[in-house]
Amino acid sequence: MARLKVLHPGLQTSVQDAGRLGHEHLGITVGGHLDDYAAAWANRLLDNPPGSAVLEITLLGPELQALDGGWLALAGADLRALIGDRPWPPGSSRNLRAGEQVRFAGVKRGARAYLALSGGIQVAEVFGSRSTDLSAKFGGFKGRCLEAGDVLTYPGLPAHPRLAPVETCLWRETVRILPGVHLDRFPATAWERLLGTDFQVSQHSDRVGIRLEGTPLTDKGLTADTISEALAIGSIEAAPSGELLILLKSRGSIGGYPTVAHVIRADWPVLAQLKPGDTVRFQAVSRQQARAAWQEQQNRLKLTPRELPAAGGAPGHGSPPRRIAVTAPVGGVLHLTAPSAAGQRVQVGHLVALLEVSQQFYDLESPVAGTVVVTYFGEGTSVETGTVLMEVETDAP
Amino acid sequence: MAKKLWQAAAPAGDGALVLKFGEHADPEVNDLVHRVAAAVRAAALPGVWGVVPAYTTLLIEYDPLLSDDQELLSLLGHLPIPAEQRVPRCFVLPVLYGGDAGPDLSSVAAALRLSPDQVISLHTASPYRIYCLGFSPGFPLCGMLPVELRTARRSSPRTAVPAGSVAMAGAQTGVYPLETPGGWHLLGKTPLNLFALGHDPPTFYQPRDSLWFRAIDADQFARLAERARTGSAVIEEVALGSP
Repeated sequence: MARLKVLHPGLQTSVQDAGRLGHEHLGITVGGHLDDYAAAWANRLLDNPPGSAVLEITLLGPELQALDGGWLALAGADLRALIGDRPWPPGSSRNLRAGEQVRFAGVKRGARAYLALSGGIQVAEVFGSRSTDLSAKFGGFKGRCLEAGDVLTYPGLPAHPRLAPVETCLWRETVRILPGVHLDRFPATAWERLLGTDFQVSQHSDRVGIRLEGTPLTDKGLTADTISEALAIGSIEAAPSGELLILLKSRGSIGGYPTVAHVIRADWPVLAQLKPGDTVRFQAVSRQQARAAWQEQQNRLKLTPRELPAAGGAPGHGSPPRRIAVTAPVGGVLHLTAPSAAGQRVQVGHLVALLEVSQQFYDLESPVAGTVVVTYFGEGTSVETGTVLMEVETDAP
Repeated sequence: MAKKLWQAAAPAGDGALVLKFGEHADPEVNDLVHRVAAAVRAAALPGVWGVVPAYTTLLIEYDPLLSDDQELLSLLGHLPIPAEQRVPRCFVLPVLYGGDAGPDLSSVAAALRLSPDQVISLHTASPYRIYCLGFSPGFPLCGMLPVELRTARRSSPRTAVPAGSVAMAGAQTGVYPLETPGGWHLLGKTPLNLFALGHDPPTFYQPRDSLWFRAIDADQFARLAERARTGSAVIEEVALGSP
């Protein structure tokens, strides 16, 4: 296990994964990393299993010190990260030497950065997730934000220097919406006003929701004495005062006011990157456009990261062992072979798996000689094009 | 094709669908909500990752890459919805009313033009049905309060309400299982632990069960709190007669 020590915690730094799914009927909120796109890139740059726990860093970042050497990857907001005095741009991985420090000099673009640690941050799962529920105070690292003196542990698996091939921070001022479930409770002019107004993100925004300042949608307040119901993440609701609130992943599962609109799924990462004072305007899209945007975003996540030459030249003799991913060239049903088990030695061209596609079998061969370190899916799993199936560590030269 | 149990269905954005089962929060409508919720959770429909039953509505959350509202509605139309098998239970919840345990009792009594004792006797008069769990982990949203007790929520919510606080707002009453922010009026506090972290389910009660609040004094509270601390608290149950 490798260790990373917190010297200074920053504004709000917490351990998050994809969130607590399937427990909302118990009143347990989803939570998790608010920007799932940036968090996914941080994990991909290290070949971490999808959904590994990462650090969510909000606006003012922490100061961290590597107690052991280890690989880290950064994605999402540009908070002017530095390793020692060297700038570390988001969307890339770095190998920290023991004793080296990471700090963040200030907000350049976006609001939330994601720091992945190779192999994922090791904390216990609570209700199926490693996320910190900051309101109920459980999960993650002791149910709270990081504090000075905390030490995070992670497997410290080998990784390599990489660069995301696309921008990992989806910050922008325009957020795309669909009509809300309660739009008929609003005056006929409300939708036009919503689309025609520039709003400002309020200081009172948090992981539960983004409060907006700007002209109210109605001249008098809406009555709120309707029966409580569950509101979807991304709902834009209007308080009796007329103030608008966009619900994020840490919203309470039941409650709420009338909903005028819903932010499309593909723009949840945009919401996560808005910071107090930012301008926001809304753009209406069709359901087809919403779906295409989400499809395009998921496809972008499958792009292959760029491999970089080892920073500063390889120390001493030769390069360290490298992990090579075996990916699915087409979608299909996975069938494993004997050499696919972790720890098995493989040669170039060894059959490591078969993909069943329309009753045809497609051979997957190991691209390198080495040792299988991890196989992510079991026999018979349906996988999509581009899915990383397993990783083979090359023999050290 | 199964008979449709909901009145209306509407997409809530591109990743969620809301089913509506009735206009008013009555037990029959709410029973339907929970029957369909249980069936949807058991069916593990493609792309569906969240199911949130409330008073009269059911929210179904899904990955728009794997499903859409039309496809989901068609699958739901063919879903077998088993009849409810579980007989609802009624739990007695001991409450120390007023004082530090219930800092809003006197102000809310004054606003309702009642004495604190009248508020306590109205609040403990009969059991309240748990319509759903929500707002915060394990929070039982119960109703409906007698009209004499109905009042608007606090104008400024508290940033931290102590765990075990028994509260009310509007026609609803409930208990804060964990220390969280909250905007309801705090009437008292139960010494029982309501939320067992990591257990599934984490609460001894479920929706459709009832909570019957019973006033206790400070000595009883201390004794029960000690038993709750050592894990030896016994939760009292009463049989519900046929309605």
